Amino acid sequence: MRDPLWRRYRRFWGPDVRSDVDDELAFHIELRVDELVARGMDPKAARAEAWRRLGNVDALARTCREIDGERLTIERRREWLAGAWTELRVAARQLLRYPVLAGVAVLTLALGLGATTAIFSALYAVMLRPLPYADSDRITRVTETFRGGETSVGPGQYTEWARRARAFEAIGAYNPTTFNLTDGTPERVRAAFATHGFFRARYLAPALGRYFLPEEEQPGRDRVVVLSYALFEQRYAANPRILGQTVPLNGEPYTVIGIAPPDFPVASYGELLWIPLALTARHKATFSDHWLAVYAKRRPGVTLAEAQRDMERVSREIAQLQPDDMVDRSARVYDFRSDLVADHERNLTVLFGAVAFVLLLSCLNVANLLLARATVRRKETAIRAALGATRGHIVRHFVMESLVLAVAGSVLAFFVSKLTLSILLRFAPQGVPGLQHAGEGPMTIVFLAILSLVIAVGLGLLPALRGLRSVQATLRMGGRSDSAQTGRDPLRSTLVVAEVAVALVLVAGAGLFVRSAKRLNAIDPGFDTAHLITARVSLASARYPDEARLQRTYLDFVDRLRRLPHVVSASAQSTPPLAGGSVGVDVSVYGQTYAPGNQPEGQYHTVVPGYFETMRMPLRYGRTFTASDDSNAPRVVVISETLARVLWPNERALGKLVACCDDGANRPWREVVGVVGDVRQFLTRQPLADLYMPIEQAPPDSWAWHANSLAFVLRTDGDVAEVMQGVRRSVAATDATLPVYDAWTYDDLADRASAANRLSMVLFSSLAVLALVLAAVGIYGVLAFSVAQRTFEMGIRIAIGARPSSVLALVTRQGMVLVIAGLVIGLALAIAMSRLVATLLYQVAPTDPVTYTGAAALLVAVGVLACYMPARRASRVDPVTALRA
Amino acid sequence: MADRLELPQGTLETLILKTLTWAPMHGFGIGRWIEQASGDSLTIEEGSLYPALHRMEKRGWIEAEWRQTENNRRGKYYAITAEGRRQLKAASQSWLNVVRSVGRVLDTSKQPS
Repeated sequence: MRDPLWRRYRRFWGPDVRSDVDDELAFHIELRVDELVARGMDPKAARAEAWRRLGNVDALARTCREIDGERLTIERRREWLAGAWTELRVAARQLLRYPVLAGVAVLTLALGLGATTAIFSALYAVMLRPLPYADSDRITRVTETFRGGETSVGPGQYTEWARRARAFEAIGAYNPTTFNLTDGTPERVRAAFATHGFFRARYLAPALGRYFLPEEEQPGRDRVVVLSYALFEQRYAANPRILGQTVPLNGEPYTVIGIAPPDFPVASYGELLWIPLALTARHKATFSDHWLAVYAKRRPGVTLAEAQRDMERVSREIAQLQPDDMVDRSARVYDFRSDLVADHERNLTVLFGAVAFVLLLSCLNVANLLLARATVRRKETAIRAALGATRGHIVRHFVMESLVLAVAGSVLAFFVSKLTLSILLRFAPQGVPGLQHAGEGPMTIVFLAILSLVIAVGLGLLPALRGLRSVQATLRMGGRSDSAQTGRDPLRSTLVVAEVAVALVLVAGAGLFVRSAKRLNAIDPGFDTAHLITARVSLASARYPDEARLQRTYLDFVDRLRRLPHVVSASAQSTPPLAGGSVGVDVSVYGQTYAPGNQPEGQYHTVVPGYFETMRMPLRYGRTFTASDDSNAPRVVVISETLARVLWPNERALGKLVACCDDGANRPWREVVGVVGDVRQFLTRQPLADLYMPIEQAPPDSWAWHANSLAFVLRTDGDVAEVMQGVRRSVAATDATLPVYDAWTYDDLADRASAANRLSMVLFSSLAVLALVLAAVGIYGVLAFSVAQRTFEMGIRIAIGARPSSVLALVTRQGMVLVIAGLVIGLALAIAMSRLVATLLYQVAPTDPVTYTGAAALLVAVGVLACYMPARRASRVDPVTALRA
Repeated sequence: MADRLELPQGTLETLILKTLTWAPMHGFGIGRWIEQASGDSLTIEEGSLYPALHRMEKRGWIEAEWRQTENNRRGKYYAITAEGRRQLKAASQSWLNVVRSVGRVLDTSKQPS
């Protein structure tokens, strides 16, 4: 029963569990036999007895082998880890011997990783972070459409939707507004009317109390309010006793029934309280006015497309009931999340693409550095391989080195990303949903960790493979020096070409935004923004019952403001430019009829006489308003050049009669007495067709359009803050409960209008500068290394009569060939990608030739500079020294 | 031969560790020594001895080495490690505690109140 002899040799190749266990048990048998024989047993019987005692020997051996197998696995793992740890320490020590190289590599990686991580965390917060709402993937926004374009929803349509739609388990309407909140310091707060269904569609459990009940949507029972957590904290010191108390809104008491949780709402309007949307019976039968936003929650399992079909069916049913009001109208559904971020998605993805390019660039650069080192250390690698290091060991060695770099880089990158993010958050335009959560939670760290691991492995494999490939060639060279090599390295040259290409894409991108910003700064808004401020007041309470009282109060305010120190002139307007939208109205012309749907539209403004003078808008024809354009005087209007052109393309506008805004019975014709220059209501959009009416002749309905509010405009010649204080004091002297809000200088407003573009410009420019530096370092690195390797060759060239200038040209040419190749690829890449930024640019074509020429020229200049330094060194090689080496 | 006793779970390993504190030993020797030291009142089954040895080796309490015996045979000798000594100390401590406590209860003559 002895083991066959050959089994013993299995152990030659390393530990062998099978023969170990077999041998051990065989040894046991031998000793037992000896023992039994010594007691006088017959050897044959003794052997049988020994085996019997061992019991089921196969089962025993199997158990032992299994345990041993587990032990070996554990030991191997432990050994590998110990080896890796040793390698890691060796790698760290070796890198410390080249502190400049290691420092440059770590810094490069930190910048690339940090910028990418920062933008990722912004992107994650806005586009990927789960919304706090329950079942947020089923939340839907529903709009009406008119001829394919999106419009707000009519109360009649909403009522029918709620009754007829099958796709939704909850549906609610919403309408933003503002209120004067007058307990304590009067404050103008953003608010919203909402139905109980709004809170069910976008459900998040209330922090305190409850949301609205359906019966609280009846007029008369609707004096209840839900406060946002922000208002609860800031104004009421988070005191839960506010629940059940009343707060005065526009002078009327509302009972606080609930506090929304901190994360509510996610949408961008930023309202601070909600009151019930009480639709009257007349509202519910109105299909011609469209002013609601509608949110719904789809039933489980209902897709967006199914909901869309359902809403189209509902729209057809409504069209049968109300054919006149449903011409060319239907409905459309949007996924809540993607709709919420639609405006920012492009900006963020482009930005993320840009930083990803920078990261790629920094990786290329570090790869280049490591490759250079791998070339120098080729002999070392070869010796390691010859001494029995396996491929795995060598790869591990290089990966450990890049791991040390990547870990150091990512630690630094963490701080870089924090810094970048805080800058980003400070300069980001207002109202990007979820952006304030950027950098929160573990996702940022996870992203950074995974990214740096991937980079570490990638960066380590490249030089490792290089090291492995040349083992034999290197060893064959023996002790001879490396100087016979050409110093040309196709892999590293490719990396340089890639770097130049990537840098060109970024520089061209930055160029597009810079030119865009220039165009934005050159926009003439149509009035003088210098030393101009605006502030708004809303006379929304029982104290101002009719328009006569409103007119009197505003005229008094303006008179008072004009007498303030440092105020050159003052006036007021319902919807001044750059400070928000205006109200579109249909305009009729005396003696003219328009086909349905072709009625011209004007933007309505109520103004206090002196407005055009304060704004310094040019008067083209006729006159502006005076104090004598009062309620007893003939009705007059002033229109903008664009409206004049729309209404009377070929005639003089002065003296023509127009009407608008009043209900059918009372619709006086108004004479055009003046034409003023166009202004831009929104800085980046074309001027609209404006219609101005003097305050004392404003149609009664118009006060409701801007919530009884007017915005003062003041031209100053002193300290803006001081004048603003004067405005507040002056208003408070008349009515201490009136909040002054939307107070801005026009410089601020103009800045805000171009904030998004400026942010893109600043970010892209910093990335482009980074890219240029990285590309320059890359080119310089490759050439300098090549020159150092070719010192011997240069020495010979100079010794046999090459002039320094021709050596200079030789090296420069070598570098510039790479730069040009990179430029060509980069240009193609940049043009191919440029349409992604098209919508983010202002009046610059995405293929703007000036930008691309400029970017290419800049890179050529940087390339020449980066080539020149190593080339000059090559031309100054001392042949004697070089040849002796 | 005296009555054979069953060993409670885990005790065999403690006994093996104790045995190895004298000198490195092979499996057969360990079994013999424990039997002799217990006055032949304990029987060590091979079926449990060898798995126990291999498990202890996996846990790092003992380590194995192949050695030549006087009879010119190759035997697998086990030696206790530092980890094993720590384990032995802890195990014998708790074993003695159990024995002492159980003994005190069995020896008591007072009736519970």
